[in-house]
Amino acid sequence: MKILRRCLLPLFTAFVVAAAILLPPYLSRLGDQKRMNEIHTETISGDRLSLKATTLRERIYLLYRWQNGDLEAITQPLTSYELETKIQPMVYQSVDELYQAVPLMAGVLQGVWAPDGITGNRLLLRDGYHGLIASVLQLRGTRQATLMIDEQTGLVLSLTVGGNDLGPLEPMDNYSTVACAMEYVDYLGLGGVTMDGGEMETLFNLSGTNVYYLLRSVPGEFSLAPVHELLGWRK
Amino acid sequence: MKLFWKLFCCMVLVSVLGLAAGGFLLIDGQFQASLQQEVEALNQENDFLYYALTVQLESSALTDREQLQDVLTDMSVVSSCQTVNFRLSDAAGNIIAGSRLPVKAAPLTGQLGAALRGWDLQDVAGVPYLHAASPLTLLGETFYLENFRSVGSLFVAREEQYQSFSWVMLLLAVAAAVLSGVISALILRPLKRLSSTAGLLAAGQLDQRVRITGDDEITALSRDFNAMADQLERQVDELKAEAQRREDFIGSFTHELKTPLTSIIGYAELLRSKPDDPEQVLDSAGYIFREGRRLESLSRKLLDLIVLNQEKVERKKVPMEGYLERVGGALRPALEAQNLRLLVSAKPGTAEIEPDLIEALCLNLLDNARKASSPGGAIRLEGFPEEEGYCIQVTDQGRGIPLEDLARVTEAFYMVEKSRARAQGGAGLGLALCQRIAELHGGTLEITSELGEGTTVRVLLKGAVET
Repeated sequence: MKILRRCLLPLFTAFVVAAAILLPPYLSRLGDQKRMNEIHTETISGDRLSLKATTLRERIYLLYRWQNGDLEAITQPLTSYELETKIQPMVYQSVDELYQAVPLMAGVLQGVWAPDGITGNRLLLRDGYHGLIASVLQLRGTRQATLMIDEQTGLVLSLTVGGNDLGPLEPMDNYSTVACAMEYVDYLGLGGVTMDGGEMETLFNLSGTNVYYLLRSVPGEFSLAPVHELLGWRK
Repeated sequence: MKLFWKLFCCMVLVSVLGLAAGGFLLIDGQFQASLQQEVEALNQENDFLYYALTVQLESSALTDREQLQDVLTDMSVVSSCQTVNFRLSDAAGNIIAGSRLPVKAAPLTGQLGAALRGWDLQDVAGVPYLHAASPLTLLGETFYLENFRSVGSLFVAREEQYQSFSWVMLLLAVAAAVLSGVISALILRPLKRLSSTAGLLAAGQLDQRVRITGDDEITALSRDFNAMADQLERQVDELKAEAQRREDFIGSFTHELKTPLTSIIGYAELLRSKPDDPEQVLDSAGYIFREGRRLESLSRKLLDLIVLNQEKVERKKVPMEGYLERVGGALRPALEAQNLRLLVSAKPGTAEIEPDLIEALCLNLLDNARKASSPGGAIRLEGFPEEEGYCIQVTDQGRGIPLEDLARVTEAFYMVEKSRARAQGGAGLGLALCQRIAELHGGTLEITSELGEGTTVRVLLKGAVET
């Protein structure tokens, strides 16, 4: 009995040490059993259908993040009904506005844009309650072009034109890529871009990230799209 | 059980329990927060799907379930480069389009009303899935938009964390044990020192003391222990001295008793053997008488000493000037018979004394002075008030007391020159009595002496003096 009483505290300590090591996972598993199949309900909030008012800069930033694979996106094929009734007229109108706002681009691309068929998807991008709805369209004509149009404003957010005989911003001698890009940025309503040593300064900065528009003109491809780093932007 | 083990176990218990609780709260808390994040992401995903579906259906002129199925089948949802699982089911639980993963719609969908959404956690073939559902009215019918995502990685991560936690806990328990052992030993070290010193004290080494370091409760205890040991040592020393004094007293008393008795027995024997010699009889009777008186004096003084040791005196105010004159006068004839002059000089002052005792004190001092003086000498009896009380001083011009005997002359039966003292009828009790009387009056007795010059005994009777 005396020996037992002497050993009681050390035994209890050893027991507690063992329990302290083994018990936490066991307790967590017990919690899991309780949590499993437990139903949680809540009232649906009234603003379920509305995305918060998002500026063009924020929408372009979402687009930039989507290109980096850092966003939730839903892609839905546009139905032929939608393409005929809604999308096709919107494309014509958006491209016309682009040509009027950026005559340099019209000079380069006029004729390329003669789409005889449009296919594409609707792209929904979301970050919390900020979102962008855009149509990502493939235009088949003399050249193949991919056009991204903001469904809310009708602005051409990015474009890529490709083709075997497409030269670098034809005719190169008469048009400046920088001037073309600056006109395009003005068209988007993002002005305020200045040149410094041949490189375009930050277009805008959101969440600590600098976003630029990159105009790339290489043989066989012409593209304008938002990027993080300013690559190849030269006079 | 030793205090070390109690401290050790308590420290280990507290440390391990604290670490375990902290670890559990951290891991489980992190898991629950991650799960909650997943739930929120799932609900937002459901909202987004709902939104996308609404946009799509607004643009499409849907007329039947097949068209709805087509729209949903072509829809793809990607989140962080991963395809999101979703489906549309009707109230009966039939899947219209979307993922065919065996995640059960019921009972969650059964509990949802038109304005209620919900989620649950399901085990699908050993993989935990979070499952969210919300109602959607299309073509006049209620459908449920469900989406789900595997949260197995969360559970796996938690299990891995718990495995690491177990190893870490084991290491920490060992570290806590080592640390607790060291700390317990450090805490108990002063107590061990205390115990060891107490053992030595108990064994009789009364000069042993605990080394004092630091400024904590144990240090205070050590300090108190040392104070106790000091006191103990002092008392033991006093007891030893007292025992020695008693032993000396008994030895001296026996000796003092034996000496006159030997003379009495010797002369009594002489009387018995020569009863016819009148001169011898007279001489022997004279010796027996003197030794008998000495014995009587001895027993009286001893009785006085014993009585004085036991009783408290009752004092009264006495004018010292006349008092000392009267005391001195009582001994004057005896002194003059020895050709000694007594000079009494008492200054006015009323002291609170027990008159009989102070008289005995004065007579003893004067008698000592008489014994020490040579014929033609003078003895002074003086009295004068001082700041602390009234002072009685007896000065003689006698032999004086050697310096080495000065400290002991107030001990009972101590005699500087035993043979001479005995011849003069002394027993070595006079000054012991005087000292005791002075003490009873809250006073002191001081002796100053020079060999061949004389001795001064100064008695200060403390207390207020009225002049």
